[in-house]
Amino acid sequence: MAVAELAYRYPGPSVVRGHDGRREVLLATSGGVTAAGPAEHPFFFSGLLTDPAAAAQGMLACATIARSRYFTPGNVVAILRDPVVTSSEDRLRFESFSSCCGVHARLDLLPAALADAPMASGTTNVDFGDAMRAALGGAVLGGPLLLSVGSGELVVDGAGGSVTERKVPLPGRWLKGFGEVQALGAQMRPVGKVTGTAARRFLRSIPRSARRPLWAIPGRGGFSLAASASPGAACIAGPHRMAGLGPLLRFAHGLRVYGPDVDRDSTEAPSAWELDLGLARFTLTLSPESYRGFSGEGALLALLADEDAAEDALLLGASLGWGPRIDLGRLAATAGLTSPRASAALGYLAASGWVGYDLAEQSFFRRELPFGPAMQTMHPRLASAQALAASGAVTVGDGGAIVRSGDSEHRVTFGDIGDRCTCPWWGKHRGSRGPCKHVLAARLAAR
Amino acid sequence: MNLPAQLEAAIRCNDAAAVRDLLREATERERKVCAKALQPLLRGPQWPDIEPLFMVAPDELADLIRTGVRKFPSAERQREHAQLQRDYDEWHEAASGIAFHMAVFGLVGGVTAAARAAWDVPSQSRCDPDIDLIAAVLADRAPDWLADLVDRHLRLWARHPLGIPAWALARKLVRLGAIARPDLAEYTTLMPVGVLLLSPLSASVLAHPPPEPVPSPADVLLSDPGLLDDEVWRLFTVPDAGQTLEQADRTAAWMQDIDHAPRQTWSESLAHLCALGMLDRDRLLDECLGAFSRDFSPHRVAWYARLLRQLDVSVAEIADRTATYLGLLAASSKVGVTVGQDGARRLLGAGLLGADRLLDACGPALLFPQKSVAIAQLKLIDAVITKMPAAAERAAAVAAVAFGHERQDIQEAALALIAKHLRRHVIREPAALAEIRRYAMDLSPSLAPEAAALGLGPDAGSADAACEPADPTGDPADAAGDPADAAGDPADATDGDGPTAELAGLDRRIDALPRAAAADLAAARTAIGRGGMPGPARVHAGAGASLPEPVTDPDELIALLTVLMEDARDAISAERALAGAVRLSALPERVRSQAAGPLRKRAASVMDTCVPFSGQQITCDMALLTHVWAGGSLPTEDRPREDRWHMPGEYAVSSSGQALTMAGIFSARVWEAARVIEAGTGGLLLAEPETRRGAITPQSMLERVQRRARQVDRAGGGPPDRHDRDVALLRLAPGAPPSLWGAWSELGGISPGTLQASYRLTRDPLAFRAVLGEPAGQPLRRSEWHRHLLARTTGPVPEAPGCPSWQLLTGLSNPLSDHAVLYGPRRYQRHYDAAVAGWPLICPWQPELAAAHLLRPLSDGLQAGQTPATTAVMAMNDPAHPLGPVGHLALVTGLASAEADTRVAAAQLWSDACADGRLDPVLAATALVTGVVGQALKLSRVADGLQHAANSPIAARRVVETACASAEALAGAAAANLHALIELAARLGATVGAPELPGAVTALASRGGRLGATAKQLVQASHGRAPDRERAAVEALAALVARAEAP
Repeated sequence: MAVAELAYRYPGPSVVRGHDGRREVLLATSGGVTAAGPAEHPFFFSGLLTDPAAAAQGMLACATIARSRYFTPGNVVAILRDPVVTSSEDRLRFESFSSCCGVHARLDLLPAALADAPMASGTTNVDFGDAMRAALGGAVLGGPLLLSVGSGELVVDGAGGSVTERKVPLPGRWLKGFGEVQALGAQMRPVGKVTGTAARRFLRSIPRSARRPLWAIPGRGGFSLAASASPGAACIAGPHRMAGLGPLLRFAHGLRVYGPDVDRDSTEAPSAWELDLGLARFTLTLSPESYRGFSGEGALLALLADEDAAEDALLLGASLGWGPRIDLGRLAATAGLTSPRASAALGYLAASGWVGYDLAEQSFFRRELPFGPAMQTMHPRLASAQALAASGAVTVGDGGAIVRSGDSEHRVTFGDIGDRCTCPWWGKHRGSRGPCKHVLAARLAAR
Repeated sequence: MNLPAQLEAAIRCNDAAAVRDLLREATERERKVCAKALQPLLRGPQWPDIEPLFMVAPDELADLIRTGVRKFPSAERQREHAQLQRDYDEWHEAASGIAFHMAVFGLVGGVTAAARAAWDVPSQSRCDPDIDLIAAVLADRAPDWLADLVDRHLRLWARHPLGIPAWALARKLVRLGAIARPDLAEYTTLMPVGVLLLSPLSASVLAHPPPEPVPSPADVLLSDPGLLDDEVWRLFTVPDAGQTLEQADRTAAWMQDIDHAPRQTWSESLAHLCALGMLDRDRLLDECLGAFSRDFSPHRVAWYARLLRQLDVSVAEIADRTATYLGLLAASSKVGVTVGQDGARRLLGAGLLGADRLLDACGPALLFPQKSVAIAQLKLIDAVITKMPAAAERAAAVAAVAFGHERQDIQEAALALIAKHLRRHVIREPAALAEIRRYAMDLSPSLAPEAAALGLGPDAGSADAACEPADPTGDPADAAGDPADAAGDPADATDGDGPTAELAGLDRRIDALPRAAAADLAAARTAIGRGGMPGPARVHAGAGASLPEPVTDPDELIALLTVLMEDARDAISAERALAGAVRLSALPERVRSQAAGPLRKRAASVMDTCVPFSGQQITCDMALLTHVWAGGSLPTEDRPREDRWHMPGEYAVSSSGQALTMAGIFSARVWEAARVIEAGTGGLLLAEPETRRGAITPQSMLERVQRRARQVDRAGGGPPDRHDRDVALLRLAPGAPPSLWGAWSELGGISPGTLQASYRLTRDPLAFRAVLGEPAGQPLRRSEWHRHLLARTTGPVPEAPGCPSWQLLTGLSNPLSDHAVLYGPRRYQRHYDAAVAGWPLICPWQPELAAAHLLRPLSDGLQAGQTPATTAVMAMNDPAHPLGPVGHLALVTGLASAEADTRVAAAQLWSDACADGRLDPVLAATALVTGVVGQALKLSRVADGLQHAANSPIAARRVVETACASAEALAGAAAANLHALIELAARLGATVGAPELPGAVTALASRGGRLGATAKQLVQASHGRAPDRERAAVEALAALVARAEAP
């Protein structure tokens, strides 16, 4: 897997300083885009937070997820990658993604959480170093807080200045996962919701050490736990990964849970846990297993292999705007696409890191991951499939295909419910992680 | 003499000063030339490739033994080896000196090589003078990669402390001005131990035995005052520094008995330096308190609290930091909150803290997960009320926040506090009472009566207050319409049909039943009318849900085998694939080979992972089945499995293919099937299941027997294979017609009478008794066995002459002694789930026998670790699988599992079994008492498991009934944590009601302590309103009606 590198280049470290008798948290920004185009150090917001304790704790929780890895295979190194901030006209969204690629967190500071509206829209990285986290820790304990994302002040940027540079590797699977988790969100539906007290009790009752995925089943008295899936349940895979919600529970007004449709035979699934913090929302999205990153899901590979979706995405990309939500109907009408095609194109854009998905509002929003050319990283399974199809290794027959891969030959069977393959990878995952490269190659060749 | 020669001479005589002088002014170019010239010395002698010292032909072996090896090797080879050894010894002597390592660092060609050299420095050169010399050489040289080298070595040392001490080297280079202070966290986290290797005191640390006294951290810090300016303060800002300080202090404390222990720990040292004025006290206090507000791990900040204790913070100092201390009440660590509480308590005692200010900050601590923290906060609030009665009403309202705590004992404490002051009439303000009532909505149902008695129960006014106010922010999520609501959120669902309407529906269904069944249910219905609760259903083993059509399509078979070679936990799929492979073996080999061609390579790979057909790994069996079906040949078994070289139970199938234990029956069947497939004549399996529980109807069996007879007539072949016949007989549903036995016996091998007798005998109910103790033989996973809860057969088990597998299944007369054999394959398989999942399918009409076998993996799960216990629990979760005494033992053992997911699975079984009428609270109570009194099960775990089980009124009611039924015996045995079970029963009983309480519970209620308090709550709950009692009764009746309606 290719590993790109991202150079964070901040005008200086994020700082905390006194400001008119109040504390000001000044988040340094690096790279990204604004409504006006790419920017080195975007300046999005400066204003008071109306609920500073909850907001500070939410930001800290985001930073914690960015610093965490919940599964530690030898090839996953915990590298601190800074959170990403998106300013969407009336709100700020802080996002982070764990090193293991299996947990995504987003804090949405809703309009009422900000005393003033953001000054500009766009996406950027923000420095969350030790000093910043310490300052936020202090803010959690109380007191008014002025938050600035970027700065309008003149920045000395050069060899003689106080530029803070840090280079971090961006593995392809991390990049892909960051994008794909949004597209997976669009496939989730609400499972249930409970009040703040019930949320605290339920979340604290979940055994952290469970080895198998558990399932949260909504019922009359709130959620209950089960060991196997049933329709309408949400998966809790690797419950220890929900520890990030712990410090936020005292602020919780409620909990909403989201998940894809499951049936009794489902063995694992992604899920999203959204804490309602009053003026903010904190959403934790978990991959289907603690050892699986989102990048391995592959549920979007068929979409990415669809050339129509790619072209439609290019068309839509130009007219996304920076509003808090993307109006699918309006966008489709503007671009002259049908709603399903526009929806597929947005899925494509999500997987490519161009849009995020807001579960509470069930809508996409524009968010261009500020990772530059690294986002062009190819999906290896799709690349392998394209290579197989291009090399003539696929013989399409009636209802399926024979795909020669190395010295093995695999039979792909097309089906109404799902395609099948005889390769060990398919045998192991049975389509739960999307199509294997042989199925993709067969579909490409059959097209 | 040129530089290389001079350097070599200096190295060989270990002249460190000369090495430094020679390299001090050397340019990088000169160093490169020198490194090349001294390469042989720096690398050391190269040993030749190892060659055999002698070789002999087989016929010379006897001569060799007779003459001995003294003639070998030749004298010339011996001389060569001796010379090599001398060269090595000479080099090793030079390389052991510090001059050698100085030269290495002075000449090494880059940061990677330098990092390796730092790792290679031997232990004898880890003392301070040697580190000084190496640091000096590096500082003289000042390569541009020096800072990088230090960073790399610090990171490496933090994981593997080998080579030159990283922190000491870094510090010396910082002092020499060669590098800036590293920004790495490791520079700080390694400091607590690293300072002890600093000059000039480290000599005393490393000396054996060290002279008195060993330097304390304070001594070292005073000897290097620069550390007090920067490094010491980093200890308060770097994550995990607190942990390393804690470890260092713990080690020092542990060494207190040893004379040469350091005089002071780190916390004592810093307090000492502070007292000497070497550290700014105010800054030290602020940094120490600040550590609790940072996002450090909550478990790694205890050291900072220790330092605060050492600093003996005065009330005035606390008062100067009142906001900080109060802020700590919202800290994430227990230690941090405790520090805040101590500060607040002292301020309160000194009259320096206003009530409002403290009460504003109390909320987070009242909801803190740990009991001690929340209780301490309630005591603080109590102190506020006592000290400042004017603030009593607000304080009580704040205390009510604890009603939202997940622990019932915290809620109780908060309620007791409020009750105390209500009785003293210090809380009278209606607004405060309304606030308390609003919080009281969150109280556990078992506390509701007490709250109501205090006037804190819900009323018309509080109902409004309990509703969450509309979002004043105009949350767009709400504006857009809450998707959860739009989707018909089940959590918000209101009961469209109440229990009364459901009862009417059940009445109509009862009326439609046959008269006898309706009469039975009418009694239950009448009992409900009198406030009673219908009991469990009388459940007989059933066939279960039907399976899809048998596998007749090669593509479907290939798809199944593809999956099963990777994951065979779906026992039904394995059975279907087995039967399908045999059925489709009639296809020409060419067709099969082509169809399964893509699987052959993978099959070959999986086959090599384990011994196939041994009962250990079903995926391996499936791989060999695939291999044979694809046209491959069955490998010959040339190694006996029953010899003394193998552990008892290692193989559950003999080398001749006979199952040795029940755990080998499926593997033996796969082996038989593979032989049939290899013959290539096609066939069918008599034992192919028709339902999810593995049952076969008599009609189907008759058809199979007839079809099999036709096949034999047409293509030849012998009688059915033994294990296939046995399992078919065990799976055959009741009601087999007499004609079946004749037709079956015509297939050969067995008489109709024997078949019929075996069939009848294997349907007879068996009697079991629980057995508790440690199994015999070598422990499975740890050094000692833990206590197991198993079941043994009582009385003679009739032999079934036509079904040898029956003997294997019923061989449970001494399960503790035979455990190593019966559960043998598990020893070799961490993932044994696939095998366990298939056990209940072998004998669907003997569910108690299946449960007795499932008790083995379930007992395995009583000890933490990866076990098949969850699979074992889930294997019983079928409405057609009755739960008898052994089934309930298995269920309760699952509830007491060490693994949370097994407990949750058992809770699900409990809940489902309550819903379909299988769960009998009396049997569950008996099982619970057996396991807990027998010291195999922990009651705290059972209570935790049951907490997850109570997700429906009837499941909750059965929990209460079980707790009540077991209370007397458990109390009599003084079972630990009985209060946890009683507390759960009280909480659930307040909602679903309780049966008539046994005398033991009422006796317990008169006692003090936690157990007495929970028993009292249970007594109250039994007299309470129990709003869900009727719903529980309706659910119980619905289960009975559904059973009666089933064909």
